[in-house]
Amino acid sequence: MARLRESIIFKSIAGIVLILSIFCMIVSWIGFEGFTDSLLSLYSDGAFRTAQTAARYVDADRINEFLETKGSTEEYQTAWENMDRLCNDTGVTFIYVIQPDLTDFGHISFLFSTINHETDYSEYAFGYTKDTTNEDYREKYKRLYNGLSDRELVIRDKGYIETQAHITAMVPLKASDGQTRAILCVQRQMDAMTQARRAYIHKVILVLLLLAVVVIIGQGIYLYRMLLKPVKQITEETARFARENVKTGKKLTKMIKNRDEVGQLAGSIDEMEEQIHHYVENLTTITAEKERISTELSLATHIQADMLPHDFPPFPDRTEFELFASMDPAKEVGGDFYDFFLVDDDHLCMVMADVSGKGVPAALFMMAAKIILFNNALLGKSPAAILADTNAAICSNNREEMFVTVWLGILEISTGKLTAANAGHEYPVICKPDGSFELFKDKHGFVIGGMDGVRYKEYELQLEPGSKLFVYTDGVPEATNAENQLFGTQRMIDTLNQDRNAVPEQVLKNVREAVDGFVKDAEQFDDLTMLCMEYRGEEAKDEKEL
Amino acid sequence: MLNIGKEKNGNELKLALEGRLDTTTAPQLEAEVKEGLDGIESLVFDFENLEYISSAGLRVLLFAQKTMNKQGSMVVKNCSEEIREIFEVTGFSDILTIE
Repeated sequence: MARLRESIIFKSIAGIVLILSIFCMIVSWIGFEGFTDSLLSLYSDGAFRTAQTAARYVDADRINEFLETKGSTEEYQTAWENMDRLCNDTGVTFIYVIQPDLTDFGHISFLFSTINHETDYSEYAFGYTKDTTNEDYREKYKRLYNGLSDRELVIRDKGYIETQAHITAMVPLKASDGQTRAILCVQRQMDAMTQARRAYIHKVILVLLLLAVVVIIGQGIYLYRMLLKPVKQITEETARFARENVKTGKKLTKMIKNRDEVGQLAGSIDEMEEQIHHYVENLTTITAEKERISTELSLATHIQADMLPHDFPPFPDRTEFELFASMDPAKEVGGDFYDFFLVDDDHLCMVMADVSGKGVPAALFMMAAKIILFNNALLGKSPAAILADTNAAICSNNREEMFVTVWLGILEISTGKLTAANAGHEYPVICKPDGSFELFKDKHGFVIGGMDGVRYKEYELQLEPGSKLFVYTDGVPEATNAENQLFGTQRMIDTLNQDRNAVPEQVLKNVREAVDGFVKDAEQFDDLTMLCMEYRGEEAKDEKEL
Repeated sequence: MLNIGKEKNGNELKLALEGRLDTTTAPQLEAEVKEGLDGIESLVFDFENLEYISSAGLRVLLFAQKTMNKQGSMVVKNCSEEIREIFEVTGFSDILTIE
């Protein structure tokens, strides 16, 4: 029931019925008033005409005589008979002549009283006195006696039951001196009028009821077909779409043929479903594609990581040196790399390199560079030759102008002699035994891949047992915090010197922690790659053998 | 964040860089250089307001230098101490004309 009361159909029909009822009430009120007015004037006209005729039967100058004789004269009798005939001929109910008492008009005495024989009333005897019926009558008697008017009308059609609805027309009976001696009244029933009026009202109500029924049925059917059914279909369809998220075989515009706003709404919803479906499909494809790329990237990360030596300690049976390295790419794959391998039993080659740019392009270039460097190094060339030959190989096929900075050193394990060359890479850090970590400002050549035919200079460095070598990429000094400050080489050197006796693995850990502490929440922007080697020399080997 | 101020005068082009030239901003300069070098005989980079240059930025400079080698000359001006050091370390000071 509550749902029905909330429905559009109920509301709109109730509204129409309400308006219809108000309209009918106004119409019937206007009709009622008009009816009453015109019938009343018709009734009163007739009554007054009858009254005037009757007045002519009574000679006002002889009223005193009638009183004295108590109506026993022949003249009175004639007048009475005429009046009685008039009463019955014109169809009025009563014709009577009265004299009110002149002190307060509170009583009336009957002089003449005739009645229509078709009614159940009986005449009043001559001289019969009764209380004035009400204030209305009293007022009117007074006016007639005081000469304020020469006709008065009392209408009694509302609210009381003692007699039927009637009007009373009153005219004064004036003597030749102009004084009112009595009042002649004609009372006429209004049954016909009230009946007609009632019939009229009944008709209006009946028409209203009929109209209301027609409106309820008609409007109900119309609204159901034009509004409620389509809206219901739209609601069901949108609910279905929200639930299932797939297109329907039956479009709303196929079910709802309206060209009105509801039809437009159906069209819009069809369109919206189409668009959302399209969008979802697109999104699914893109997500799948992204998933695929992400899977490939993670695979690429593994391949790249696997390319670098990653088992530590790398040479468990070589006690002459200890080495540790790490690479943390900023993206899934990076352009930095380190490498180390034994060229032969007495020579350890170490590489620290940084490819321009980041991500997949840098990673691809890094793979090529790493392999070429490795192959050249295995041929037993000097560091400078390795870099020069690598540069030549890379420059021959490098349209994208990628380049890589490389520090490459070869350690002669038996003597501690380090031969190295630098192709545009960061300065290495050396820590002599009992000394501190210091930047070693070596000679620089141009980056590899930048220009054909570049030559590199190499240099030699004697490492005493206990010496440490630390090489890194620019990800360390250029690590940036949220305030855009660089970590810098000075902070790096300071960090290294705080724990001079740390083993290589601990050295890398210390630097990493210092960088993380400095950068804090800022995103790691560049690849972070480090390598640390401690030379222990032949003595360490001997110690073990002993 | 990188702002590139462009000043073209006939076959001379002056690019004044402001901010950081790194992996994120290097493509911006690369596009500028690839489109803008046609018919240029003199290219000047003004690095007075450049705070930082990364390897990705160096790559664009290398491309510009190689292009200008064929059609004219290229000069890098007003480098800060930090950037000069990067050029030294990477060996770029050998191939660039730094004033």
